[in-house]
Amino acid sequence: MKHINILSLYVKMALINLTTYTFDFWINLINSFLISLANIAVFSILLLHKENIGGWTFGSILILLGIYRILRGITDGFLLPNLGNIPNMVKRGTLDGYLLKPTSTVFLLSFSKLDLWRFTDVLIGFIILGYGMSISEALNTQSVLTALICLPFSVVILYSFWLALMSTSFWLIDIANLPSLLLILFDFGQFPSSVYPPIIKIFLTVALPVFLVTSVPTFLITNSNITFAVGFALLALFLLFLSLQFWKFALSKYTSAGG
Amino acid sequence: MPKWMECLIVQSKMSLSQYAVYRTAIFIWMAHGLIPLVAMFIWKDTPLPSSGQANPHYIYTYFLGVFIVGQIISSPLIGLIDRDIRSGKLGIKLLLPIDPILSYLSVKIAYLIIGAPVIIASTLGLFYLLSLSGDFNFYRVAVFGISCLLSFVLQFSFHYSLGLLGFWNDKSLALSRLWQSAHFIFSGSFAPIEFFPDFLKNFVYYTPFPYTIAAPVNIATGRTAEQDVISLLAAQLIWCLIFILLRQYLWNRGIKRFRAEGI
Repeated sequence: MKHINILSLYVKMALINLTTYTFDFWINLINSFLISLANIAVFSILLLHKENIGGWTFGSILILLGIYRILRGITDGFLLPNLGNIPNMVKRGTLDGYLLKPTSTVFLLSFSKLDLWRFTDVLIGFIILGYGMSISEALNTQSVLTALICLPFSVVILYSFWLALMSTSFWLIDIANLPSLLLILFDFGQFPSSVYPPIIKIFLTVALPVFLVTSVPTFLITNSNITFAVGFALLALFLLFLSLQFWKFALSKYTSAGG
Repeated sequence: MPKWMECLIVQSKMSLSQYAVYRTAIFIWMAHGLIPLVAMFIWKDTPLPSSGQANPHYIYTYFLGVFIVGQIISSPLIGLIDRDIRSGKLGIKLLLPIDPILSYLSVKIAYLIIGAPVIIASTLGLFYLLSLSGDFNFYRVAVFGISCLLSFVLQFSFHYSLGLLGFWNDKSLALSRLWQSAHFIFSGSFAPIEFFPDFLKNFVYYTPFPYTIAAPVNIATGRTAEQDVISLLAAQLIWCLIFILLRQYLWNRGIKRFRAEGI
């Protein structure tokens, strides 16, 4: 209950913040729209010259782009300002302020700053996803249900990965550049995993879960595979559990300011 | 040696020692240019519009060229100028008896020197690939060099102009994101322009975008026929002049609005 109260306060703060950043919001919305349009245009141009892209039809490419946009928006507006800031806090010692508060530290660190004006990608992403599902004739109860299971748990996987990686800052101290590298690698996820050479494919599925959260859900949605979607959810929960354990372990190594 | 050149060399040395500390950050920043190399994978077995046959070698050289030119012309300029204007740091640069443009140019030179190993290695790789198919000659390398220089001036002047918008409002960074999205598609970084549908292809060549990336790459890889090279360079030169004048105009207008206080 306490957590829900705090969360609703954070959301309220984020909404107030949004009114300050209305211009950014609109520019971001136009930009998300233009980038997505351009991405779709490139794939349409590509499909003028060949039948499919790495075995994927236009509909499933749109589903992939939709999922990518949604996750990108969530990364920019939620993971980056919160978890992405942990290395800086460890380096400067400002993490102490959070440790002293009588609530779960990892909760505060995860939700205290929501950049809602960056969530424009999420809006555009849902439109593309919906359109993609309708033209790939995958718009039925089963596939919608699969999408509803896959999307939140994709976010959970991304979150777990970011949390685990940011936890390493207790040892490595200087990893402030890591978030921007992650964002670049995440860009690779906007193409179907099948176009890449095997080595990159394995690296970006297992070592960094880029394709795990983009191509895999797309595949599940186009095949309306609910059983595997449930498995996907269980995997996500398991990863979340692991990363929270790792976070606790890492935090026990924290020696406060001056590190 | 003219005085500005001496100033530029000294400034570049200063910037180099300053930015060498942040070399990891610079390499990560350069990794933004990897996306064209990713695009290479989706284009490699696409049949070419000219011959109707797939030619992976043609696509590899194209996107490697895009990567190289992208590294040469990209710059952190917009954010830098915008920050200097809003934080008042520009005031310190104005007090020096040299044009602030030299200081910004020196930052880009420092970035180029730090990134040089990557740029030189990939350029040698490109020339090696071209020599495999017999498309390599020194005339072309020389013209490629000139074309890159023009692209650099074009992009530098335009980024400078975007940064100068900071004199009028504090949203120039948001606006510049729009420009960069358009640039990404229409410069040919993501899809070779020859694959565009006809109406788009004709339209794109009236915008400055292809003259920053597609032009030098097409020259280096021999897509531009020898008799067209001069007109392509001329078009690049015209866009350079337009943006140099734009920069000068914005600078003259904006600097009158600038006020800095403090140290």
